[in-house]
Amino acid sequence: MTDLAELLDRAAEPAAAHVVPVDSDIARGRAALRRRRAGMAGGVCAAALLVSGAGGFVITRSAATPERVAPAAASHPTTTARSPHPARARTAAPFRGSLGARPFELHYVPPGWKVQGWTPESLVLVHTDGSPHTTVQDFEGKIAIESAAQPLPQTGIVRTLDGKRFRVTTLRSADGSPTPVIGSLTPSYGKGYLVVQGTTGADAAELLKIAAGTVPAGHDGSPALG
Amino acid sequence: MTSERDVGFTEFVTANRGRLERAARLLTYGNEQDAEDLVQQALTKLYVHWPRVARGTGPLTYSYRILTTTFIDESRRAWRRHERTGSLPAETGVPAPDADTRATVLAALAAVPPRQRAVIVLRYLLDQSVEQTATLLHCSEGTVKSQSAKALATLRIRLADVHTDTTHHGGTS
Repeated sequence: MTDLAELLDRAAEPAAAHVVPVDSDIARGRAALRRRRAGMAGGVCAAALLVSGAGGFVITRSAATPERVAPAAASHPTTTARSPHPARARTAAPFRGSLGARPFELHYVPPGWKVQGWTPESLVLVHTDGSPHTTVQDFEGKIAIESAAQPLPQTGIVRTLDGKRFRVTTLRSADGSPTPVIGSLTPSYGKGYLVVQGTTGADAAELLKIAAGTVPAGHDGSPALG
Repeated sequence: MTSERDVGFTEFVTANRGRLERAARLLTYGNEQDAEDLVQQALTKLYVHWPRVARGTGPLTYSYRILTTTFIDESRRAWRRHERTGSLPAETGVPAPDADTRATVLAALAAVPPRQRAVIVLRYLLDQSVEQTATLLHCSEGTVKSQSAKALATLRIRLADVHTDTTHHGGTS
């Protein structure tokens, strides 16, 4: 009988021998460190550097205080997330960010949720109580808003909210459990399509409101951001 | 200018990159490009957090954690087009030994869900105990045992022709 560990050991061998110079790993590390330090410095200028470099979701405010909300433009209407009209519900002030090179604002955060932080590719919401203490790179138990180059698979149903059409479907998470996911049908968000990924048991209707509340700046009466 | 961070990181990468590549190769069931991307992501995060990691759990444990959690996270977003940020390493054209068995094992791993695959790689390739694996994957020891049992059941079926002994417990306990 062949031992599994032995088989795995043999399968782990490279198909072809290769050598990656350590210098390239150091160069990538230094670049990431520079981006991180720029982000820690906070402010519009630092965020703008990240946007141009990563092409992902970057909030235009300090990374040191991700739970705080940037003030909205003075002319922007403000209601709370507990509005009786949840589809139009807004946070006290929207988050402003960029998907790719395109700025937009996040107007809806479900009751009981808050922004944990962001990566160059995604904005992450966590539950205000009982959320796992993991990094923003880990989406387990969280809601992630992302810009994707590809639309969601053509499964599930199409729903319209606030005049915008979204696909509402279910995908499998790492442990195989069903996870609700919302995706825009039109590629108008940064790299292309807006994707809001929930966690197991999340309310798809709430995710839909998040997607509808993620508005390219200049739309829905909000000011365009530079 | 070479910093203390660079010196320590260089020593670690020189000694352990191959080990990480092997793990990544099994996690991605033989996809060399995905495996290289995974290793690059893990090493980049390791470099960024080097001072804290070097003082804390140690770079090898951290690299195992970041490799597996990054892999699981990426697998959750499988519908997304994976952007290539690095160039493929130059190949020397050296054929791999025992190619048929290797292909069979990798195909069997492909049939195992990502989180179970991570458990198998940590337990049986990287020789991590149940407790260590649970810590690395932020889950309970019971979950590790359950995930491991399910993965072994799948592998037992897929590798029947290779006469694999999947009854042992591998790793340290």
